[in-house]
Amino acid sequence: MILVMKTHPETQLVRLLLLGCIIFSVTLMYNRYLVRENFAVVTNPDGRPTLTE
Amino acid sequence: MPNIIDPLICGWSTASYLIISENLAGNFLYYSHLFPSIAGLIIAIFVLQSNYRNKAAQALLFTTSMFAIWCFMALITWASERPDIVMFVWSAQIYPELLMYVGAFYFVYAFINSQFPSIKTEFFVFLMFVPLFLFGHTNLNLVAFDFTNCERNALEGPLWQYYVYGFEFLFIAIILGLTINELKKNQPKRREVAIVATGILAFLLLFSWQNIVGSFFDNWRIGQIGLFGMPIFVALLGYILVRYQTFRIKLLATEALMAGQLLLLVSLLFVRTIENAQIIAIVTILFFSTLGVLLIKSVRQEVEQREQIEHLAVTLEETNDQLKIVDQQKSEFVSIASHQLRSPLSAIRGYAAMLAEGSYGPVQPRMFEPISRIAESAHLMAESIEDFLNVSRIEGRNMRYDLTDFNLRDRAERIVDDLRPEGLKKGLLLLFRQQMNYNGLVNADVGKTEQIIHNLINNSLKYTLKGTITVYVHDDPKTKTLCVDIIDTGIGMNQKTIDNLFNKFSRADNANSVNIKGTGLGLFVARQMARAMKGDVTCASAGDGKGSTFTLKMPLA
Repeated sequence: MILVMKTHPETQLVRLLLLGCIIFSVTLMYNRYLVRENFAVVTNPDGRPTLTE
Repeated sequence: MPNIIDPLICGWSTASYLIISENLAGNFLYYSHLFPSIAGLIIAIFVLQSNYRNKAAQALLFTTSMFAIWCFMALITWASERPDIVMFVWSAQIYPELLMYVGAFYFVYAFINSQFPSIKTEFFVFLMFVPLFLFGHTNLNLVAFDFTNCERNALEGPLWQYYVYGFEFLFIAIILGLTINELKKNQPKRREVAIVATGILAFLLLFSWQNIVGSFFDNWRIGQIGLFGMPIFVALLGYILVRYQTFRIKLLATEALMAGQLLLLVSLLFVRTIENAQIIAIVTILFFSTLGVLLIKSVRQEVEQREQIEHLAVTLEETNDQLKIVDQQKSEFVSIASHQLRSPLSAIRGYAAMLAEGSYGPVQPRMFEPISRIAESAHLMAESIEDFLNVSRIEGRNMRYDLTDFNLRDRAERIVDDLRPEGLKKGLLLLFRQQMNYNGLVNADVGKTEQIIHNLINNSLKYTLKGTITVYVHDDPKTKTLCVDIIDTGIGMNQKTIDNLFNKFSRADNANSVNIKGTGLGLFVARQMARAMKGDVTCASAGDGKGSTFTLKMPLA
């Protein structure tokens, strides 16, 4: 990566930035859904899931 | 507190290895996800393997990798019984999906231009992702997990339902625009570009279709068919690999063959349980691997050499075009310069003649010598300039020929009569002989033909010190040609000299010993003019000092 950075620094910088942001964003998602389990649930009006036959 | 309902209420089975579960209800999902992604990955790896530096191959592997990641994540959402895993994977799927579209754009761009887009485009792509970084982990991405009727769907927010599809169609439009723009240019690669673009657009449109059907109609099962866009793309890619030999097909084929054979041999290890057979299989694998590596290396070398030759051929063609332009400019320069020289020369010749005639008063006897030298030099110079002009006309294809029927035998005889006194001055006998079956009519330019005969006889006069010059006119009924042979007893020449005699500025090695004047253009001009009139001028000699025979051949009318 260092070698590539030396040959095309500007392009690689943008790509690295993109990769970094994606990793950060996915980490936030991981934190939200898997660590804190913070998401809403839609169920049947009676509040109970309907069992399928 | 987490707001999660126990999955067991719905009777969902637990997924093992993330993707293996009965929740998928049938094997179709495995086929629709795994087969296209593996096919895409294999062909991309082979393509990149055959040429690491090829930008299009790099982008292709990136695109198919993103597709494979997406398919794997999709299988997790189908198989998992855990809402938190489904929610996380579903929300994160936004990245491989969009990167796949970006990769496809890079692939088409690199396929056309052999390089990646500029830094500005890279930055534009980055900016397109910014909303996802900001809102990817919020309710704008996924609203809620849907337990209604025990479905394991995530309810998608505006980011998925609008932004992602807008993003996808924008890139589809960009790829379409790129392709149309390239096809308009009428480049030799246009068919390949058309096929590649059709494949990738079919793949992307089908992919978007499956997502749209899923997102808007909540029917994710029918949508799966859209994933088969990847095999369509792979098939078209395979077609151009074979048909147009894109991406070093020979190397690719060798590697594919080796990989297939190796796979087959390795599989034998598991099938055969007899120890000896296994040892044989291992030895075969080792032997085969070594041979395979050598074969691939040699094919790679051959392919690289071919590419170098192709590159050289292109460079050579360009250089040749440039040379032609330079040559044309040179001919134009010679033509202009010769025309400019001719006018003052006419004045010099004219005034020298008038001086000699005594038009400007009586001329003292001792002045005759310098005046005649001036006239002679001017005459020689005029002849040289005429040769230059003729060469420049021939090379510029500006020489005009006024073709008419005339009697070449009679003309040749008249020229011999005209030049006879000049021969006698040098002590040479100029003879005319003939042997005719036909009347001697030819269809050619009278002036040019006379000029050729004149040149050839003059040439013989210059290079013959003693003896005779015979002009022998005869015809050949078989080939229907008329030949004018100019046979001299002059200095002659060897075969090597004859071979180069009709080239520009070429003179016999021993010419300077007899005649130092001359540009070496006369015979070149004579032959070119004869050939333009469907005739030819040839030369033969028995060797140095043994005389020569120049022949003008013209087709009979």
